[in-house]
Amino acid sequence: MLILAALALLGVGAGVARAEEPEFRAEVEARKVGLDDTFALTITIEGRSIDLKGEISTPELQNLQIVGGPSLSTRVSFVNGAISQSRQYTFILQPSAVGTASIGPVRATLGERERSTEPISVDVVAGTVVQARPRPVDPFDRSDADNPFDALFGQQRGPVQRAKVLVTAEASRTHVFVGESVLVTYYLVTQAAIAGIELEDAPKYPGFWVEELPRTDEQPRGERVARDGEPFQRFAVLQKLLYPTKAGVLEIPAARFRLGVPQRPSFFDGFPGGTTTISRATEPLRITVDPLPAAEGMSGAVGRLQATAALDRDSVQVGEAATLRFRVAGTGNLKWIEHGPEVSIPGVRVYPPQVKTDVKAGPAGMSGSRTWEYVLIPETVGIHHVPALTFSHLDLGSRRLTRTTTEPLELRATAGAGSTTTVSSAATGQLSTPTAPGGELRLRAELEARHQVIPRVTATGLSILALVAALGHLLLWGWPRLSSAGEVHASTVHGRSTRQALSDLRLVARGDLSKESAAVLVEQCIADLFGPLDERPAEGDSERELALKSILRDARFIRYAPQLGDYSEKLGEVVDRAATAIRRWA
Amino acid sequence: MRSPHGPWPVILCLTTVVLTMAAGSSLAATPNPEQRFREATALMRGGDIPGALRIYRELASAGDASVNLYWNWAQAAAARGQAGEAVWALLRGRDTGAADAAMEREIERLREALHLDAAELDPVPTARLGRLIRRWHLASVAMLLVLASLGFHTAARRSSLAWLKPAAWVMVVPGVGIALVGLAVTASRPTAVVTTRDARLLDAAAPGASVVATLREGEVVPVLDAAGEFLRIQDSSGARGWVRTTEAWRLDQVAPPDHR
Repeated sequence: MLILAALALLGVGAGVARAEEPEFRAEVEARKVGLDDTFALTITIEGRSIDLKGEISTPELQNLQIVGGPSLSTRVSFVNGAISQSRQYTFILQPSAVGTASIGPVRATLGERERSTEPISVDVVAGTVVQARPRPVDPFDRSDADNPFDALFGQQRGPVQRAKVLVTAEASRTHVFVGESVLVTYYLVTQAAIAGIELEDAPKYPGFWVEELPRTDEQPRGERVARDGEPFQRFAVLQKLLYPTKAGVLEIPAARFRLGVPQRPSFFDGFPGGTTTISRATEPLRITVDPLPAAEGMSGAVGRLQATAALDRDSVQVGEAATLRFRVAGTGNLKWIEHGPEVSIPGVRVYPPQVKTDVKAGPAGMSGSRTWEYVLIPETVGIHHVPALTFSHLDLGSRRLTRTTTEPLELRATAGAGSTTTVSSAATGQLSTPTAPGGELRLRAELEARHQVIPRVTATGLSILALVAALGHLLLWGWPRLSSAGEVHASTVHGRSTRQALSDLRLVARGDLSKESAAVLVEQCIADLFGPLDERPAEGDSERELALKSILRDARFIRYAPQLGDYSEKLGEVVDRAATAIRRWA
Repeated sequence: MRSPHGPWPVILCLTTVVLTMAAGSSLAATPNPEQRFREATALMRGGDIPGALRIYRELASAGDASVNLYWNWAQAAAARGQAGEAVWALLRGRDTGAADAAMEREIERLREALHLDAAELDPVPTARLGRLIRRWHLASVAMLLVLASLGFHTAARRSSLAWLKPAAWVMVVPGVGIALVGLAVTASRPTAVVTTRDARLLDAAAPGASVVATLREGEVVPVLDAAGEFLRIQDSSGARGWVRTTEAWRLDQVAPPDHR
């Protein structure tokens, strides 16, 4: 009981994990019985997981009495993780009087649910109706006639734990090559009925690639074996397909199992006892692994394998796709073959292959095929030769390195209408890119290359340009101001700034001053801003000096001219020239 | 001391340099590019697509690239089933010359066929602005505006003409503005097109690096760095890694290295 509950809780095996609701039913041996007959009422709980809380209730009986039982029969099957359990309680009933008898519902708590069986009615007639029937044989049933303890102890036999129970591990081969399969089978070898079995820890396989074998729903088949002269029943409970990944002596560590062994029914109340848990471990296994022979082009494959190559078509138009299939089939470590052969065909575009694997694992190893599909697209017209492709592997038949070479193939490429151009998307597994709805090339006839008269300006060029602009304008704008700043300083010494000088000139231009005062003011403005100047022109004078000297000469002419004339126009012209010179050079 | 001739000698020198460069590039061109182009077209029609592509690559490398060359290149790539390469050629063609409606339609058609989002062809937002600047030679216009503004400003210092100074400012503002925008655009990250189906994004720029993702053919990705035969890129999902230059072709190269 405990071990079954533990199995359910621990979730050993996918069957347990699925936690389907168990079947709970009551059956009678016969619906019509004689008053002198006894018959069996069987209460069955069956499913992948049985989580029985407490015990089943004794059914309410009318016109019937219990003359035997209940006896308990349990059965567990556990193969490669798939578990199935059943638990049967058998009552022996006898009618009390002729007429109708009834069996009330039997109740039990399974998991979180209260379950009950359907009531059963039985017709009771006088005399005897039910014939004695042989009991079904169950390899796990403790009442099995072959069980040596029956013969030894009969009804008085002792506890079941005295029987021998062990687990063993056996390897299909102990001397292999790297990549050669080894089937390891774990057996339950017992002289007693077992209520449940589970792995205490997941077994470890250092140095091996582990391939899971497909689960089976078949009941485990026991076989009679003899160990040390004693009879045993042996059941295969777990199988693993292993592939050594390195050379040397590799050890498969011991695997430890937890076993549930049912107790005998209590002598006084007749109800079954509980279940005790025992632990058993296998012996470690040693496998000697030889390295693969070193050879160029060795694929790493080991097994009985054949390589073939084929084209899906012999002739295509240029630009159309053909598929080259390189197939390795047989039995061996097919999943280990990572790379297909290199395919290179002049004038044909070869796409990287798509790999398709169709492999099934079985006790004899992995069998099936691995196929590399290359999409070939001819780019020129003509016959293209697909070279012979080679495949090297260790053949387990001859136990030698074998090199298989496929037949060379030919692919004819023709120039189709419009000479190209669609690529089969199904073949390449990629985009179809027709260049035009009809597959016709839409080419342009003239190059029309126009060389750039204006060179492209680079980022550096643009940086320099922005810098030059900024600096140039700054200099043009700022230099006169910097100069004038110096002159302001100078004019401060002389008592007049540029702004003030221009203001004084505007005063002169208004005509409020006498010609002498106006001329002096102009002279002073020029002298204050540009320093003392000789009015006579000299050789090598700059434009500025010439202009200023001219202004000074005219100003002095007006100053010393006779009073009779009108000099306002002349004065205005001198003032304009002076203002322009000051704006320009001051 | 001021130059007696002002800035005009400088402007003259710059113009001479520009014209010399243009003349130099003309002289460096391949002889008879039109004839070679026609040869390539004939090869294409005869089914020798690799031969045609060799000529297109040769012409582009020699500086004889044109919109039509990249158009035909895209046709050849598409005919070989190389949709990514076709996208690269079309985008190169779009960057090369004037607006071409057929080119735009073809790019759009390929984009839809490759199930790419529009943003996956334009991952750098300033790229469109960059195309505009290149197409209309706005950088050169900016250069001319700046030089002219400097000329006007210089003239304004020497002449009493009142309009010279405002003219200088009117020219310098757009000139510097365009130059700064162009600078920002040209300084933005270059891009590359994934030209191989299931191109591998690697975790290092080494042949034995681990594959962290596969890239979508035709996707345009910004180039973050380059090291030998590898480009460091960022795909549309944000994943960063290295890709071989044979599997992602830069758009700022007239012709990628021929590894095929």
